[in-house]
Amino acid sequence: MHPATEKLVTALSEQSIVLNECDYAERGYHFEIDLDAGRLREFAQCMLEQEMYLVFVGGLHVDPAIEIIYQFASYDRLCRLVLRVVVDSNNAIPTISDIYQGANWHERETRDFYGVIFIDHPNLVPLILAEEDVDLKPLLKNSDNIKESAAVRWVTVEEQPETDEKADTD
Amino acid sequence: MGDQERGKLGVHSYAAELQERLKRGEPGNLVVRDPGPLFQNKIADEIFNLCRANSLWPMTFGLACCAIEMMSLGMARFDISRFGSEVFRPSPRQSDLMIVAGTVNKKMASAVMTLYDQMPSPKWVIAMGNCAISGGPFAVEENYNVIEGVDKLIPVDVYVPGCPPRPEGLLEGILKLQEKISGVRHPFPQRKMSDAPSY
Amino acid sequence: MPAPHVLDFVYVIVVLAGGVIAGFAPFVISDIFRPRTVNKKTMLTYECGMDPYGSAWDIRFGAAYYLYALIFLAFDVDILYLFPVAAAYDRVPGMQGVLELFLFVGILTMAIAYIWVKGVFTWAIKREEN
Repeated sequence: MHPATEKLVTALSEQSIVLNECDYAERGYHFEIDLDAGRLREFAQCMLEQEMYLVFVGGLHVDPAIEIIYQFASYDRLCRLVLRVVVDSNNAIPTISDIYQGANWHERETRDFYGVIFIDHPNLVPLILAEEDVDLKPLLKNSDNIKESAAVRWVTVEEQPETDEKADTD
Repeated sequence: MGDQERGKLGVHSYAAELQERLKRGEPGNLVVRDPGPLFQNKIADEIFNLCRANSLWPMTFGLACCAIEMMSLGMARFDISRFGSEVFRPSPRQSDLMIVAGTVNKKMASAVMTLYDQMPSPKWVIAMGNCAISGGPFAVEENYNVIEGVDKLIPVDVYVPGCPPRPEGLLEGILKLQEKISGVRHPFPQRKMSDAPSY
Repeated sequence: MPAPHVLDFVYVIVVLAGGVIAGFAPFVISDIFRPRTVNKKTMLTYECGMDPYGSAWDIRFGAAYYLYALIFLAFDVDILYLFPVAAAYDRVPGMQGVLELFLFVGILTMAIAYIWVKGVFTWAIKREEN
């Protein structure tokens, strides 16, 4: 493990944040974190201090509530980190746009599509959708299509019956 | 420009009109006033229509991937200038043909309507590609931001289907429009490809 | 039969009149025959499809641009004084005219050099203060 990544792991474990280590070759990221909305800003500050940049902010409408997904990565080393935060009962979550300026438009976009309120966001007006469609929330699923949070996390692909040659090498 | 001025950058002034047209499903009456020409004469009209048909000036206006085919039509291989339409104008004031080349989404629709308004009369519209005709692949139940057919916003003269149409398809559309304007297909005949000298 | 020089002026006037007619006839003809349809936004100034906002008077630019006017003035006055020189150039023999021309322009240029040294042409850099 890269020394800077080790530093990141110790810094996070000092804040008693649980890191689930993943197989990068399989999933495309190294760590997976579930966090309470209350600790989000503290976590983002920590990420900034560890010189991680914000890749994107996105949303996912799953059964209990909307999950906001953040991905952080580093320019200096191969280290990607996925953070999932569940919004509270008012569909609200604290903003990190004052910590990462790049989150500003991502959060506006997420508000467009899911109606999530980012608390203390400086300018939470529609970015991508037309101004008159403030309350459209087009990516919210209807009750037939919605799935459990666990069901969409990571689905391990079942071993397919392979050809004989492949089976031999296995 | 202060913050109050910037606050005016809210909803486009055509947003309400856009909603009405979408609800109606047709463009409706767009004209504020039309006193007609000062002098009208049948022979003069025929001459002018022949001239208009042979010098259609399209607007430089691409909305999606169909615009690539439109550009291709303007270049040497397909050469729209054989039919007098090569002068793509950057301003609606100077153009009389709007080729709606691509997907019109809700945010762009107000701008399309404004641009159509700003073109001087007489003006024509070609809806190019399936998106501009009917929404194409976006005409599904979950669609929330694509206008399903530009003919709900502005009157369309010629529809050119395809996804995207070949440049020859658009060329045929322009020829059809010329036929519609002047009453004659191909008013000034072109030389056939087989007669062209080989270089 | 008018005098020949009057006839020359008549030619000039005919050509001028022809030029004016050629210039304005397209406007007049198209104004007579054109359809005069006006839509809701036909008369809008801005041509990009977006709503304009604010007033044209709100546009502000740096007062430092008056330097362009100063530089123009300095060189323009120099050139202006060369017209009488050109008018009388053939009345003096040979090199004398050239020398006097350079002497004259040299003295005028000293005025430019003077204000240059004084720092009038120095571009005042405006710094944003936040």
